[in-house]
Amino acid sequence: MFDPRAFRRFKQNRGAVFGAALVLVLVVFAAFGPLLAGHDPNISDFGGGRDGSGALLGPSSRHLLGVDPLLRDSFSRLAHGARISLLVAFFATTLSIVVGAAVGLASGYAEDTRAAGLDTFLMRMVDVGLSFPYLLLVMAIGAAVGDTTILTILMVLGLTSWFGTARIIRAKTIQVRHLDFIVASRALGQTTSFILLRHILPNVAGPLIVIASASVAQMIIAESVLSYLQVGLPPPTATWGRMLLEGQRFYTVAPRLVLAPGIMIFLAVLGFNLLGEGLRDALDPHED
Amino acid sequence: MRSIRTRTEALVLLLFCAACSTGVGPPIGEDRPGDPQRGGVLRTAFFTDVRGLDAATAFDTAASALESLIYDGLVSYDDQGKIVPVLAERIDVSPDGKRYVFPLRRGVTFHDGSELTAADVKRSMERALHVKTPCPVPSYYERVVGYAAYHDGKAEELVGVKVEGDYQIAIELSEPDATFLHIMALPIVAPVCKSAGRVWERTFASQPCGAGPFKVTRYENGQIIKLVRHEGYWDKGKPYLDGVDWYLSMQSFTQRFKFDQGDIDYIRELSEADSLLYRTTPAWRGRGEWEPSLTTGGTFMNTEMPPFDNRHVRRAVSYAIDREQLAGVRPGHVRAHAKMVPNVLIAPEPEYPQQRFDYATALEEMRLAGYAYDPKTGQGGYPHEIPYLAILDSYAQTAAEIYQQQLAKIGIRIKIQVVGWPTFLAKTGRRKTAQMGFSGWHADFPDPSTFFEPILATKSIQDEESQNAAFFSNKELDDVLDRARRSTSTDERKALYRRAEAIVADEAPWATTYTYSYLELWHPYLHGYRPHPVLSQHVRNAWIDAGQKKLARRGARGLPFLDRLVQSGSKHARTTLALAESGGSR
Repeated sequence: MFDPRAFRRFKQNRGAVFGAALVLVLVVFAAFGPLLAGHDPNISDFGGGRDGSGALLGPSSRHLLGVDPLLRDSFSRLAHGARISLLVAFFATTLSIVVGAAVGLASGYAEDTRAAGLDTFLMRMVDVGLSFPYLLLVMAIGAAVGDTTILTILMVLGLTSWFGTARIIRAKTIQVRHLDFIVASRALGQTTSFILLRHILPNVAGPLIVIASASVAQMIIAESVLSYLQVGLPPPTATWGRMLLEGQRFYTVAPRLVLAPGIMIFLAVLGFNLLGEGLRDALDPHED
Repeated sequence: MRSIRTRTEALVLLLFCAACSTGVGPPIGEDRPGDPQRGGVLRTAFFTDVRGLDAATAFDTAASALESLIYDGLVSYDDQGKIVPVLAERIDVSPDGKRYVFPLRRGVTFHDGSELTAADVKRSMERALHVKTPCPVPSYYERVVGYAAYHDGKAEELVGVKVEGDYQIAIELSEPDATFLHIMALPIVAPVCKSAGRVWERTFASQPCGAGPFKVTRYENGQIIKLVRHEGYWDKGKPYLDGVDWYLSMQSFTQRFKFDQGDIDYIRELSEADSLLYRTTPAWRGRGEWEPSLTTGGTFMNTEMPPFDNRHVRRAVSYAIDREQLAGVRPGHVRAHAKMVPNVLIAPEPEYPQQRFDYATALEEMRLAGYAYDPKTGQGGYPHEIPYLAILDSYAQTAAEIYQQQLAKIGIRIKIQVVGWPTFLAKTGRRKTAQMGFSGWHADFPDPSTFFEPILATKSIQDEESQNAAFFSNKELDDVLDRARRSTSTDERKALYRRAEAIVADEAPWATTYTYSYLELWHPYLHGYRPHPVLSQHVRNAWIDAGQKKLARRGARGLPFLDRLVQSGSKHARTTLALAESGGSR
């Protein structure tokens, strides 16, 4: 499956390499940042959270990025926010890709066969799903669920974002299904599940990887939006969206409280989008 | 090429910095004393929604501000906070204090054009106190003769309210009541149009109709309430304003920028950072006023639900909260407070009974409750997580996050649930629904009784719409409050409310923790407004200098961005933050 030409194309794409580097840095930050911070993200520093003049403590040796309006360590909250953002984004994307791929494969393979009814049913379901404004749907479910945890957030995000993936994979499956080697497999009596998993799935893996990479960026934004609108994880959990919300009141006097989470969201989304585009270009054989 | 790039980068950086550290715009218009002008629409906003404007049921701070524009009562408060007749021509009280007679003004019309008569006053009172009406504080009126029978549905009419001809109403009390005129000033018993009917119906809340200076023309939940002048208002020449636009569910952050641009005329819900920005901006010096703090904030504990049915757990909570830390995150606006009645009404004295922070005692109370907690190992404590209800985008949410930290140290884990205002009221008012949450009370009238009876007396417990969110019932407290209401002696009443404070401090249905003050600002073109000593956001006598507003807005909107560039700068911002956080210029 590994194509050295694709890897070469990826390496030659400066944007893609930059994106991959950003993602790597982000993962390292999420993994080790909380350990470096040395502060609990949810505990206020009532004793030392203010400077000599009584203002919120800015960047200093005690608190690397200063403290937030509740006198909590901003760096620690940023790092924990990175963990949550990545955790939610990765798992929600995995869920979305698994469901989208399963529906796309089943639908595409059933198209124009005796099981065409399944294709019709699944695609109409996708039509309904796509007809809802995505974020509105996520917000409505988030608000309805009420008692939100990381699990509910990633389930909500994952289960409302697979529609587009299913469409693309279906089209690709239909394309592959009519190729000679699939016809040969069927003639040899191989089972449908074997053909789907061993022959068709590897051939649609390229688009899936690209969709997944772009989807992670989308999930990071969606999670931040939910937190910003207070339908995400409840306080005091540190998320970038919540940090934006809490910092905005102080935007006039302590812009760092808004800039820090804002820049993190920007870099994370940029990183995953560049990576996704790089992967798309690298995996596209027409480029070579 | 390089220099162009460098210059471009520098410009981008400058614009970025300017946007990041923006100051506040100057006041719009000038103070030009003159005769009040008619015309103009006042625009302002709440950060909460308003869930209804039925005088008989909507009783929260936001609704009350609007109701004071829509409804007129028999009596109200003048600018000094003294009771004065409004729809009544005068107030006649019998020597024994048990009979009040209110001759009515002639020619008063409701918004629907019909004339106000004594029968309307009686009908409105009966409607508010009907058994089917979810009035939040019917017990305020229990001394009206026949109240119990009528409120329990055993009598057809409220016999103590007597119609004496078309233009005179008399109200008889079973015993003297020191707060009677105050409760008659509440919108609850304000006359409502005949369309409101004799019995409460939900639809009236969005189509209110009274005899006040403004009537509602548009009511969109979560968006806006539009009021226009009631042309048939009895006080000829008033109101001065053509209308009032009250935006709903608008974050304080948004309000501040709209105010800055002159898109709203008056603002009350400034964040602490923004309020200090205004106070430290020279152009705003001397402008604006602090609303008198008639508010007590804290956390209620539902005494009918575990673990707060155990008195020791409640006491543990009240001892575990360090109130100075609460004040420390909002200097200026928030002050530590550990009793029910605000200092404005009863000044603090030595040995005055109140709650206090004492960590060791808090741990001991947890042990007595059977939930001993060891802070060293983190073992023990109450085994279940407790949901804590807080209100979206408010200081209650911030306070909840601090309680969460403080209560964790005695083994109580709370999980914050942030909800909108209407949901908050619905949940906390329903029996056995909310274990714990924000509690705050703004004085209904300037008397200590308002900080006990509607929120902690047994009679204020209802299955739905209960103001007694703690569902606290204590016989001694009930007796003390009854005696205080009956008493006409100032000293005796003071002593009785002191005893009431002691009971609450000891039983801890609430952990009282802070008082909150609002800084109110308005542009100079808005006249006739200043914070009222009793009524919150009382804008009914305001007027707008249209010429000033038009001229000034044209100027202000001309080059707002350049203004910002000139005013902004990180040094200014840092200085302001330092002042803001220290609360020094208050």
